[in-house]
Amino acid sequence: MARIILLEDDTDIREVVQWILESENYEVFGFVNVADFMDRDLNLVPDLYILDVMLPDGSGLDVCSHIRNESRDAQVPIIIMSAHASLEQVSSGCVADAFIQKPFDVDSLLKKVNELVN
Amino acid sequence: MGNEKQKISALIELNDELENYFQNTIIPQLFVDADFVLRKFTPPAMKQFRLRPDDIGRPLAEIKDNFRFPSILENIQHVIETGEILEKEIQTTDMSWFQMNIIPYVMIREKKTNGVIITFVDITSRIRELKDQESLILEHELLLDTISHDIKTPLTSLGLTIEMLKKIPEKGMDKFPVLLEKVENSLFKIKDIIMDLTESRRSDQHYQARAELLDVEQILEDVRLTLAPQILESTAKISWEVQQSELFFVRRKLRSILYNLIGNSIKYRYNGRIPEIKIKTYVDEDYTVFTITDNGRGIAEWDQEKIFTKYERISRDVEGTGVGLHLVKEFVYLSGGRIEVESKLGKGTQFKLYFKNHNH
Repeated sequence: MARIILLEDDTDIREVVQWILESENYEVFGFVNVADFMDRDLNLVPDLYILDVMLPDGSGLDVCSHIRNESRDAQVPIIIMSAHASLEQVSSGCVADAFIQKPFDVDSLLKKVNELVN
Repeated sequence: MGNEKQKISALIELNDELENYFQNTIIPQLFVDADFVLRKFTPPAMKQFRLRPDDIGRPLAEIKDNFRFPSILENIQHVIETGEILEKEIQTTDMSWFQMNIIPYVMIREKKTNGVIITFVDITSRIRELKDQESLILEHELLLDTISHDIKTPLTSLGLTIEMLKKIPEKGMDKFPVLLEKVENSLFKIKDIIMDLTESRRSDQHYQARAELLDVEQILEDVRLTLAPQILESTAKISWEVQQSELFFVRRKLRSILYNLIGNSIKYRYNGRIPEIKIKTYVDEDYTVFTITDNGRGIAEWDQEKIFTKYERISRDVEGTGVGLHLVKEFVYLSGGRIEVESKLGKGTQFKLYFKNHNH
């Protein structure tokens, strides 16, 4: 079963995205903020990261750069999720594999996830 | 002889008429001859430019400071040389705005320009209104940006949840109550945003004008994303070192302050140099200090006091309203803080913002 790490502070979005992915047979690990994410079990290497940008204690883009700089996880695909329209243009600090602009629908989310995991 | 006398009295009469007409003029007007000597002025000009009757006959260069407009002599010279009418909007050093017309004084018989007539129409209030409008639009855009950003989060969960609800028949009922709760949650969040808006309209306060504990990096990131097109276009490098990560302030105001200052650093970049903007925050006694340092074109010392004045602009080649920095200063000072600016022409500028720390 493919594993996905989901970093999103909004409980409603996090839980519903988690259900959507679980109903597609992904195993999802949710984190609510950067500190929570940094405390994770480091043995957990996922097949995909989904990161929100605006987090209460930092930026998902920094988390993205952090992942890219860790040789262990550097190759794992990353999806960045944000309400900002111009996100793709300025995420130079982090080379993400895909962007999802809020609000998004189930199909566009699953399409991107399936593409990157398989 | 009788004929001569008649001519003279006709001329005297004409002169009286002109003199009376002149005394009745309600706009400031100056007559300056080709040697730049002040020949005549209307009573409103006397009041407006603090002229005295014995200024008549003096070279304009000696009293040019009265006009509070440094390039007036060059403009007159241009009209005398070309014989063309010059019309332009000028801002005097005391912040007033005038529509200035310089018309060549043509001696018809000799067919030559022998001076100019300068008319000033005060358009200060009209310009103020225009600038106020611009600043309102700016505020409005910022507000719309904030609202649409705020509303996207509940909208996302609402949309996703409804899609999940539709799948209930195939997936089973067990998630139904929680999904419904999510729909309700999202609706509450949207309602809160609308309430904030209508409340703010009723009490004439700005949307989300409450101070709250802010995460500085989050706001910086937000501003960086809002400025994305400008950053991309200018290839600006923005970095920050956040030693103090929290600030008790109004979210929209801090966003506006940083947006204006970082935006200016990009806007007033030094030609041919990649803009580098460094932001630092730290605590200095009772204050949280933000420094915003750039390698831009810098601000001349004599201009440094003027930059915070409403409608004042020191660069005319870059688009702007002259309102941004005024707002920045107002936001900071009203909260009990202060701003310092250090700058060197051609080297760059550093703004230091002191935000008072509150015990809360």
